[in-house]
Amino acid sequence: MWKGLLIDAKIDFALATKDPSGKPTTGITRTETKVTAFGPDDEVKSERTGGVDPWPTDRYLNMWVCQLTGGLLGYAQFPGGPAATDGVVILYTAFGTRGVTQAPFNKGRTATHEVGHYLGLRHIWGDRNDCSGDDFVSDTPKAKGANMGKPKFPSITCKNGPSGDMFMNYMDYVDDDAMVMFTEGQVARMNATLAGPRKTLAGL
Amino acid sequence: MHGHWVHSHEEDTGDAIVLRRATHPFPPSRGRTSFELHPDGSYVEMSPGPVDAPEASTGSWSLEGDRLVMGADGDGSGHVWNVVDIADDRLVVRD
Repeated sequence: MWKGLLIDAKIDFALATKDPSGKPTTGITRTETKVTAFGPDDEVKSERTGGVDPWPTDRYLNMWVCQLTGGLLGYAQFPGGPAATDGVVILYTAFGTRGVTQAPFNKGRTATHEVGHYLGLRHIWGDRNDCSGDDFVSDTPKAKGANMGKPKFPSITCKNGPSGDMFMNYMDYVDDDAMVMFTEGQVARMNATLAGPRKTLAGL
Repeated sequence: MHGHWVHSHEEDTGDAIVLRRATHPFPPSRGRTSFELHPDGSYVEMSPGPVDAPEASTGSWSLEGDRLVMGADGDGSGHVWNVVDIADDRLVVRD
């Protein structure tokens, strides 16, 4: 249905090989904490609150992997926010594809979704549940709200037939194995972020 | 009817929306909407914000026959739900 719109973002991240002081690193640090589960309030991002401080956010994408309260899979921060909390947070059972990951969130798509936000993307329904929301991308149809699970095609809302909601987009709320695409418009928006507010990351 | 109701979207069927008490053992989710209906007619709704962290909004609720009417404060969109079924631990509504 949206074959012509689906596009490879060609945005790659790599594990850091040098830490902020220039020493070799695996790009992974592990921090012991007394906090049993972190809330969605940035506490994992500071040593003072039981987490760990970010590496310089103009040179590194920081990903905090931890236990989260309330069954939340992850949360992000848009470009232009405070440096001290910049990056993405992901529930440990929804990070990557191996080990303790649990279906249906075991294909690494929570990171795809959160990094989408980090690069300036909005939810596909535009964050209002009444068809008035806007994701500021012209090639994604309007949608009334989040789709969950593995929806049956089509999911028609906001007079968006015959194709309905683009629920298979990484910026909807479906299961990992049900989300497969960014659109050209979304990739253009991410590239604009990498040429603008996050330009110090590009080409590192 | 008052108390903290959380959308158990895994249990939805067709256009029926299933809510459970906050103490229900919910599995992980990208986001989950809930509302806390207070006896004084006010409510607090928590729903996924633009970067997935839950955000709170407030309003007033009332039961008009079988309709649960939730009027949001400010420019929020609010809801009118048709109540299909209610038990101690399970509330089923339609949009």
